[in-house]
Amino acid sequence: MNYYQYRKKAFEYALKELLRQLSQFALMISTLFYIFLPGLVAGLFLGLGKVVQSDSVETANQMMVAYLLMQTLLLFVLKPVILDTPHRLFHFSLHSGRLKHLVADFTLLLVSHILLWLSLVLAFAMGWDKLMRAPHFVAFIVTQLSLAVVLLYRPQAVVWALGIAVVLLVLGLSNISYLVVFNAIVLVACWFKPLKFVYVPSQLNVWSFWLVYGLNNTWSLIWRMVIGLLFTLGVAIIGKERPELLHWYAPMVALIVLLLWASMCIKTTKLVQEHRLFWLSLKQQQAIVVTLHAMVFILYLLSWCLIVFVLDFDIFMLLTLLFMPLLQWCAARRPKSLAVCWASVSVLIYMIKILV
Amino acid sequence: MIDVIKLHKQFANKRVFHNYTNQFMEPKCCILGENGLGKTTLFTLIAGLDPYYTGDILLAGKRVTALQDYVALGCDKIPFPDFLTARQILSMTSKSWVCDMPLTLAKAFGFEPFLDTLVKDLSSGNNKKLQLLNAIMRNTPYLILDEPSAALDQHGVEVLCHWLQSFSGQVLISSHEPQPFLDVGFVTQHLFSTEPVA
Repeated sequence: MNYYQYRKKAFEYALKELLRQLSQFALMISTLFYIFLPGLVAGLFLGLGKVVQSDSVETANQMMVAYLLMQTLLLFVLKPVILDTPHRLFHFSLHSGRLKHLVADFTLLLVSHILLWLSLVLAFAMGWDKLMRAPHFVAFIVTQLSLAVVLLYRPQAVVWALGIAVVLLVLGLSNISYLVVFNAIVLVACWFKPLKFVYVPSQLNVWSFWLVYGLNNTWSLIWRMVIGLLFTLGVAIIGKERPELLHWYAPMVALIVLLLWASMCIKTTKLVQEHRLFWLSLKQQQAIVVTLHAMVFILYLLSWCLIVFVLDFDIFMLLTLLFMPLLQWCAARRPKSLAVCWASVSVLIYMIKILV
Repeated sequence: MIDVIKLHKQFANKRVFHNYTNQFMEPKCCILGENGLGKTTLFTLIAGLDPYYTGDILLAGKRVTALQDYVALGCDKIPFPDFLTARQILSMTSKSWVCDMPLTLAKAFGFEPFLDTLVKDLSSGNNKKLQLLNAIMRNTPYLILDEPSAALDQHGVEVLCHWLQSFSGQVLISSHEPQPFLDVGFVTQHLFSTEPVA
């Protein structure tokens, strides 16, 4: 077995493991959205269409940021699979040079980069002539690739660049200029120091415990926030084109974000259970459970406020807030029923909306 | 003195104690028993951390409503959240039980430099020291230490034995290498025997 064969085998194995770990989540998502999956793929192409051609420069720039954010989220999950991170030192023990490693990394990155495939499919479908009339789309494809490569080796640059890119949206730069500036930032940010939030209070209580937990599990928070933000931005863009449909979509965004935050109770409840004796030994078992649910509720409330701010208030969105405790209870006590519970709440809210 | 009377404890598929009665009279008692007999389970019950049992546990001949108020337990079965530092763990115990941070003992253990280390980064020996400090700092009249010398370095065992010598309450330990404890006055007793081992 040569090095490349090993990397292929390691990639397949790690991917299988990842899918096994995510099987419950993937099953939940596919159960809930399976009838919408073709629509979801069509929606992704529609979004890329907005990047190629849009009524306003701002919408295209927003769409590009949303795609780059989404690919960062997906590739961040796949990064250990692509790099075979747990056995990286083993790789270095096999070769003195880095060329073979880089070739293998890059090949596996291309295989894993689904959003790049979509862009390439669209580019091929457009044909050479049309593609030359939309040079910013070519620049976007190059950016997709450059950002993905940087994510592998300099993730802090991606965080900086995406953060600055969101701020740059207000400048209203042309699409090409925006992408050139973005790539320049990515390049410069490669030499920036990684962002690190350190909070180590010497005194802890049940509230600050969850704060420390959050800072140590930022990924759990970030992916929920980013997915919520992407849905909110997506619906906001739809709302610009079809404002009369916004009141149908807005509660759905609130419901999806409700599911995302409620599902956080699954992992955190498991953590509390794993350390049950520790909390009992402190006589804080009840307090830690109460603060856990209060924290998750507050996080959903903050996301809900953002949705209301961007998409306008709707009385049915308020209902989602009222159902949050039920979903939290379900996630904590009956995690296998969370999907059914969420679907029932969603159907109920839309039934009321139709009937009232 | 700790009395266990007609104890019945069962996990989903395993009965650990059935009609178990025993008395631990010695102020310094080392409980012996093969792996898997139920020593740790008994310790968590006496420490009031597991309310799911039938029978009685008496302290000094009296039934107490909150065993936890009187008994502190140091045990591998109490995993600490691994993203906290040792100091944070101890501070939570200090706050919950209104007791002082065990800084002097931490220094004696050579644990002071590791107080700001995350639990996940502690070696198994230092993790054991954290367990011991976390239990000892509560100053309860009853102290239970499950395998206190496991993974502990020689110096750590000496410090612990020295501290236990001066402890005025009753202490139960379990150990598969009891000699250092026997040297400081511990008496061995089998888990299923009411008499101390001669």
